[in-house]
Amino acid sequence: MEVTELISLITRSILGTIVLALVSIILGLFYKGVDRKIAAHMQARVGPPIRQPFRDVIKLFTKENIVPDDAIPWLFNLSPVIALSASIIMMLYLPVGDIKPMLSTEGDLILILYLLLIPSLCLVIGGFSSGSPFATVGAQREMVLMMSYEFPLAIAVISVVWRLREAGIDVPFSLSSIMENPIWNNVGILGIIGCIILLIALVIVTPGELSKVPFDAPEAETEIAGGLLVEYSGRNLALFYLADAVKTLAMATLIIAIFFPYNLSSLLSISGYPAYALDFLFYLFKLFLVILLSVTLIRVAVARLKIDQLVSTYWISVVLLSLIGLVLLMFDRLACLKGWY
Amino acid sequence: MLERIFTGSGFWNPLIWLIAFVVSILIVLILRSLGRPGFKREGDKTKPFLCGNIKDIETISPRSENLYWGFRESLKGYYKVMERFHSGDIRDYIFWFIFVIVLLFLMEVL
Repeated sequence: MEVTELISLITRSILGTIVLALVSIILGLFYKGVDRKIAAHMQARVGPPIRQPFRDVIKLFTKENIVPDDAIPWLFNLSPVIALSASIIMMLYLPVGDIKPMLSTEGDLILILYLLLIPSLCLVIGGFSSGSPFATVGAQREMVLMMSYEFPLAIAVISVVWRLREAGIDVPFSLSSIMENPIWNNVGILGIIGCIILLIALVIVTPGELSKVPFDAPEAETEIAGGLLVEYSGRNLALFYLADAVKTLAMATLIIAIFFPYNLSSLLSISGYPAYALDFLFYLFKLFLVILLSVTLIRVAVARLKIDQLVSTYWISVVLLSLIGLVLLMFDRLACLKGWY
Repeated sequence: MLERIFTGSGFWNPLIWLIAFVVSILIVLILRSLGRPGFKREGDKTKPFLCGNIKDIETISPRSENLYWGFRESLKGYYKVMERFHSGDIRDYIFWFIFVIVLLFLMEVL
């Protein structure tokens, strides 16, 4: 790597992190507000205003930051900081609208899968370091949840990448390549059915990844009083709240990047700044739809699962679903090779 | 470390990741510093939150053996079969080792 390229990359990563941190926190909180408002209307309630999450964060920042006697203070305080940092970094590797990922050449889909793990790991570490029985139960459940959803998540993502590689796409693990070569354009009818099944699997994985109902056993307010977050308050809790908001955004952006990378500007033949603006608005709309389908609708429609039901749902039902998707993609490849379509 | 690491299929640049990580930690620390620091030590606010008639916290703390309860409960059928294989007899384990090697060899040949 040349020195000028390295300097440009370092500058890009510093500036990109600052800009994306602000944008993703604001967008994440906005979509949290939208989610709460829609969920309330679906339950025949008025619900809080969309700006409520912003107020919640401001209020949390004014509250005392209590560290329990039994806690390990440095771990207890560090966990929310790392959780939010990892969530912000994820956005650097993800495309926003028509804008390619800020660090598209410096990290691939596998890196994003690993980064997705970090906020959950921080929750686990924070929970264990709280020194509270409720938090310990919550942390144990979070670990089990992570082990449950990672397998179907990996199958869904790797299947799409494998099919793109078989279609002759260069560097299929790069999100830029995936954006430029939408999976739907590279498969036949069997592949399309397979991709729809993988998309459904990913939509079911999303609430688990974000610890939302019905997969919110680690927090379960009515059962273990907030679980791993039970001892958190003030600015530490605010940081976890923000990390959750940004991670929701990142997870929805990942689904958009893999399955819905289309933009309006190319369809309407618009170029320049209007194209960026139009695609960004379209990206916000896609975000809304993905969050509505994968978070809001599911959490309103389904009750919380017990931890053993949660494991069997992911390890049996969703893994099976993902494997069916993968097998269909394999048959699709075979059909292409045999020239059936 | 300055170069991208290619893993065969994927790639990443640890240096750039580290720089972004440090910058984001700094941003988060600045954000954190806007919040109210510390707390007034009074009453039971630093005691763990518990409810019910609790006499001794040690007796209600979950143990590490509970960690995999959810897994074992939901995958009972699988564990039942697997536990039968764990006879404790080294000859059984060697048999399974050779069996898997032969299976993999046959799969490779076929």
